[in-house]
Amino acid sequence: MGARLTFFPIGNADCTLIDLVTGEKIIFDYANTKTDDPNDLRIDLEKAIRDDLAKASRKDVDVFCITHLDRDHICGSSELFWLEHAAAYQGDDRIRIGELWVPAAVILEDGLVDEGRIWRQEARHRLKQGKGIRVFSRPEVLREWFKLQDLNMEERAHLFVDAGQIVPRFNLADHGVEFFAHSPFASRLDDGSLMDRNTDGIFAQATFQVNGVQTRVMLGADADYEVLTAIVDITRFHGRTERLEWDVFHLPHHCSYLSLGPDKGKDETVPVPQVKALYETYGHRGGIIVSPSCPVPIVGDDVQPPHRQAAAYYRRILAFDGLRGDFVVTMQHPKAAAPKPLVIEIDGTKARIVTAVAAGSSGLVAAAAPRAGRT
Amino acid sequence: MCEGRDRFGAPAAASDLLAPKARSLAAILAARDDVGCGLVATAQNGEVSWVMVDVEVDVGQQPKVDIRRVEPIALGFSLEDRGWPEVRALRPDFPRWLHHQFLVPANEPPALCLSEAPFEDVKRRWSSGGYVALLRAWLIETARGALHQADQGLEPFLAGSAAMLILPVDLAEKAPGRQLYGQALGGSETSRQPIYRLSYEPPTGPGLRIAAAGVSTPVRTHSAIHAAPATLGDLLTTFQADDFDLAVALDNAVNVWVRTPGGLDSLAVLLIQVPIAREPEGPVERHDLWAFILGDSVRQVAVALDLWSLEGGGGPVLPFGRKPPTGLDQIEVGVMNTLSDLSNRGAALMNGLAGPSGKRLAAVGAGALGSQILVNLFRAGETLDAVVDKDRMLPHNFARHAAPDYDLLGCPKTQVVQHLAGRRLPGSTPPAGLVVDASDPRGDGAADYAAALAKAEVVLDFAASVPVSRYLALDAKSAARRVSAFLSPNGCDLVVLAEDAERTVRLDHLELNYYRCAAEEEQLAGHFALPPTTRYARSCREVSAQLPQAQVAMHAGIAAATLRRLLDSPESFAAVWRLDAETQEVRRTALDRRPMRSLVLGDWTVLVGEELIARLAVVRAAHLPAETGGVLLGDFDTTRRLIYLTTTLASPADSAGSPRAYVRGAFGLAEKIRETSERTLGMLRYVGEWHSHPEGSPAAPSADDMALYGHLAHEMSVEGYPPVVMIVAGDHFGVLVDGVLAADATVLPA
Repeated sequence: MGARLTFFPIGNADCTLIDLVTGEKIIFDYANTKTDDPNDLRIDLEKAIRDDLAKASRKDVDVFCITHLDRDHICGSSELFWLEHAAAYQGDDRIRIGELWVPAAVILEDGLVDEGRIWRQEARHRLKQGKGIRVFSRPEVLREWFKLQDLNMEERAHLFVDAGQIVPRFNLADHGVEFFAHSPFASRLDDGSLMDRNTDGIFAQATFQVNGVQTRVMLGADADYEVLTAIVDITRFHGRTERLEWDVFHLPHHCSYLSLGPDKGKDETVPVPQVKALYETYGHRGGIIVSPSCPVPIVGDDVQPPHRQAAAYYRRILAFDGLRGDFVVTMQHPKAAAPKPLVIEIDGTKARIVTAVAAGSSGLVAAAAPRAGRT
Repeated sequence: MCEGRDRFGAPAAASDLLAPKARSLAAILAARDDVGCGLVATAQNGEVSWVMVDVEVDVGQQPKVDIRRVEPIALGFSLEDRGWPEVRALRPDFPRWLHHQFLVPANEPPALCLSEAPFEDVKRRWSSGGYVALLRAWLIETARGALHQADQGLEPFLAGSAAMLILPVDLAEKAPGRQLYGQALGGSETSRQPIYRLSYEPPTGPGLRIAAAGVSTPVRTHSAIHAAPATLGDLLTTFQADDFDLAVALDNAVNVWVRTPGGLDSLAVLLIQVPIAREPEGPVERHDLWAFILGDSVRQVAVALDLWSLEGGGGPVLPFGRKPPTGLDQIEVGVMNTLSDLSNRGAALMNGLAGPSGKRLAAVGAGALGSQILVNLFRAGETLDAVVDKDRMLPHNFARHAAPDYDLLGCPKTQVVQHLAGRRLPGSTPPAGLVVDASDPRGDGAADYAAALAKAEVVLDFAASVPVSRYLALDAKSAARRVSAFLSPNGCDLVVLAEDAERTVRLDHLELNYYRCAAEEEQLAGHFALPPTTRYARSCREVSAQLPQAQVAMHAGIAAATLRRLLDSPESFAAVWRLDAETQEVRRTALDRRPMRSLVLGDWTVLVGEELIARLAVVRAAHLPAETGGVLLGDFDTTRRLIYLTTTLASPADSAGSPRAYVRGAFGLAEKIRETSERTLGMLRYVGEWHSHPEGSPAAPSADDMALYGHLAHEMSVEGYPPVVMIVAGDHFGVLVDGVLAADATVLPA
């Protein structure tokens, strides 16, 4: 079979599980938002991830990528993963991480509390150890941090990846995938501007190759239209527009209009020209846009995403006379009343949504069973 | 879907459907929206209940074939419930050229073949959900281009009830110039699925005759037909093209049919060969062969085409008076399921082999084991050039021999093998049968025997005779590799000894090594035990062992499998399989297959086993600085002037060894030699003496040694055997025979 992407119904939060043809597993963000409320339709993400690993007889992932430290991308993650820096986060039931991917901002950010702080400590620990980490971008300001730690930055150069580069861990020939880092750009942290998680987060294009056919997937942090504009401009400047192409687009910021343009619009958001090109010029026929969000409201004018005006734009460009693709909202798949993980399989026919069918007895053994017993 | 109305019958409520499987499926689809398949309608037509569904198909951005994300499908369940439900794709432009489709007439919706598993196997565990999953998987995998398996042709499947037509293996090469005859086989013409066969031989049985004629179309780039023609008129339309007029070809076919002996009253079969190329001008990659059986006799078809007149007792119509054909739409046409006769290559493939070994084989010995091994090899596609045996079939032979037929009583056993090989597959050539004494060929057959051995690449020795094995190993003039397979006297053990392709280890080496292993190895204890025998006639040597045929069959199977592997490998081989006659468990013991070292001493040749040399070196080293020694066991071949040295016995307890001399004692020695001889049925015997020389002394006989030698010579001369003395020094050994000394300078193992 081919490679597989799994997006989970966790409300306005992100978690993408990537299964490579080699059996390797990559998780982009992890936010277990499930509450005890019986009306909460969100999935228990921890159980879903544990069931998936159990099916593969694994207790680890090859890569865990934190695109940025917002709560809707990391909450509960410090309870699931085995962290190297402190025994408090270690135990038999924790999932080990082969390589931790973080933006440089994670190392540098001050004033963090709670899980953000825990992950900063973990990233710093791995960077000091010189293994098990990949830092996206290397701003000059990092040099000061290295100096303070009495560490040699050059000795750890191989642990960094700059925007415009392929992440060294994976390649098409051996893994059937490569990751191209679009952001963060080092310049942003160096020009003295304030650190902003959404603009300094990881945004990447994954290119899958199965049976000689390439399928492109956009993944990443809550990039706004300015960041996307910069990505389009820079990539065009370098003449590498294939790095803008996509078959699957994991929307930034839960279908916020701000990822399209400055104005929400009455019924449909109008994207700025670069973002319009990103979707309409570089999107492939039959492409799938995934909105990691709560159901899109039909009316009204909510402040929080998902914004129905943004969704209207995506739906229109994917319609029959457009890309003829799909717009899938994680909390509405396959239906809002009973959302299930969205599975996209990637093979020689490119991407296809795997219909979530009841699996019968084979489904029963694929997950831990509900508790049985007298009490 | 106007044309569908008739097919699917009248709308019926799901709960009113007659077929239980249809009711159950409709109920599940009505109750659940999470199975990837939605219920659209239900209908009943006679005994067939139809469930119309919309299947949700996971189709990628670039599907390999035109499968859509929603496919309307009709599922027909018969009340009889004796086969897979009928699956019809209802989208008018659903592709008609997919793998795993049945060939149906063009006016019918495409029919899908969801599974090749026999329905009766599936029926027991049938579940509607599982069936929907299978249907979805068919569509999803077809869209992915993943359903096609490598061994399948590209033509659509024929419905299970199509008549079969078995064709000669070499039809493509030979058919154009040769008369083909055909008939129904085994009385099958009245069955639901008749089986016809075409061959080059005139038919003999009572089966319904068919007359066949072949035509060939120009090169095509795709499979010829995607819909089954129902009448001769349909057939003409199906193949009609700018560059091909089947009507013209049909006129020629009628001539062939009419000229076939008995043709006018036969059923007409039209073979249409379609050369397929990938590109319009590209090379032909394969030939699709289509066979159609016409529903009427050749006479009626010829009359319809106005090529035959019934007037005046019947005769051909002259070309200028010919009227246009009439009633071609009344002549039914059935697509035939074509099969090829089995060839040796096909037989090998069916046996899981890449093909026949291609080796030229001669077999010596066609007794119970030999004949059964050969039958196994024939079935795996092997052919035999010659078979040699001097015996004839007697009544008791039929208890275990592969002879199929008691009518062969009194025939040479070679003739039985010829019968088994020659009648097996069409076109088989039986081996030459040579009735000759295989160990001492004389008279008429001798020259043929020599020629057969010389021509062979592998000689299979099934004679179970030491003289035959030695003749083949040492006397026969042939570069062929010798391979021997035989049973132990009680039939519990199978022995296979095979030379390597270069003959560096000879059959006699392997045989002597085998005797040593039989004498010494615990797993082979009792190998030469004698079975009860039965006297089958009144002459003195007419006894035969009592052993079960099942045992011979098991060993023949093991031997055939082993020999077949050996034919593909140049390596030598030697092993014994022991069958536990109680539990039928079989265990293999590998034998020593190292070549023996050869020393020439005058007109004698001494062959020394590697194991013996190694052991003597170890014993010598263990006794240093004293000398040691003992007796040598092996065999004499006074005719060929050969001496085999195979093993030794421990120095008797009363022996005396010092750094200067060794005196071999005798305590218990005679008893031990007798035991070894018994364990090998006399095959190993006392041959001579060995002793060691200390460090620094060469393996040359001392004065004492010469005295010993004189003593041996005196004793051995009674039997006419030469005295043999072997001396083992630090890094070499010497052998003294009949007054001649030879040394092997090879460094001995430490």
